Amino acid sequence: MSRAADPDEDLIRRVARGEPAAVQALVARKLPRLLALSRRLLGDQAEAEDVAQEAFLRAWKQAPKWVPGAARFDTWLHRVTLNLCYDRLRRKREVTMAEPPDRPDPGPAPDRGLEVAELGAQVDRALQALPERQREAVVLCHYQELSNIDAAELMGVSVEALESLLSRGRRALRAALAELAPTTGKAVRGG
Amino acid sequence: MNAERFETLTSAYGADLRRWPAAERDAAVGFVAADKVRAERILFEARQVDAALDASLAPRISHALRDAILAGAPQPRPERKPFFDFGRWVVAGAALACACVVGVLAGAGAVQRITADAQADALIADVADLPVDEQEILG
Repeated sequence: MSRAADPDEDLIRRVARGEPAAVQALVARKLPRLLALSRRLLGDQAEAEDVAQEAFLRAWKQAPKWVPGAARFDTWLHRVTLNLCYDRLRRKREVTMAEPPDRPDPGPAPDRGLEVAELGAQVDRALQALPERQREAVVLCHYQELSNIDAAELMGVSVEALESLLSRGRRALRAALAELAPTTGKAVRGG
Repeated sequence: MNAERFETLTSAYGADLRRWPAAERDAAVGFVAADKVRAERILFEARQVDAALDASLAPRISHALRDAILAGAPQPRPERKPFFDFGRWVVAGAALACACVVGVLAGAGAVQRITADAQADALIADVADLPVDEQEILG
């Protein structure tokens, strides 16, 4: 079965030639996704920015060597970002096994209501409380909107195992969110 | 698709069928159409989790991060002229050939002129050596 055409193929070719417009377009297209992925997996903005920067450095090096057809560029970039996150999570675990890390409170953003901001922060905390593999599965499928096949491939598990991780992750999230303050619960129910 | 499968997939992928595996979507739509009440009951809790997940906003992207990333990007490559430019070599070759032809023709013309002059000089010298009456005949 042949893979679908890579929507980034032409862009990568132009990036390899150093076309400034293509470089800008790739950053605009991928940076929000990569930063969101690493922020949600690591739970730390500064570390997420470091990961995003490193992932792009690798993308710049890879662009001239990119061979279309083998894998989609977006999947490759997710793989790189995931691996960088794994490295950091592993180091974190080794350093902070005895003492739980202090998570910086992102605080309410100025352009949204306090209630929504608080809900978002609580969801982020609930996500961070999930076991790593469940969090990865939820982040890849819900936020990154990867297909189940791509997500399973990136995580190195079968689709059935991915579905199991997703179910357990979502169940745990629901349980965590059910314990939230009434205002938050109202916001969740209100959609 | 039966209710059990519909519930399994809902618990994994949530209430938004666009997030479901492509191969299962049509069957899921069929199940919803066939048993709307049951489907809605299954989807209800999943919608709550989806809504909560959507409340987590994507992080903001600072100008500093964007600039740092762009600073490492590939630069435009200067256009490199190939060592062997066929067109340029053809033009140069044609010019050289023309120059050679002109040179050969000019040389041949010069040699012809010099030969004719020498023959004329020899004839005049021969005539000068003849007796006067023979010179008159030739003259």
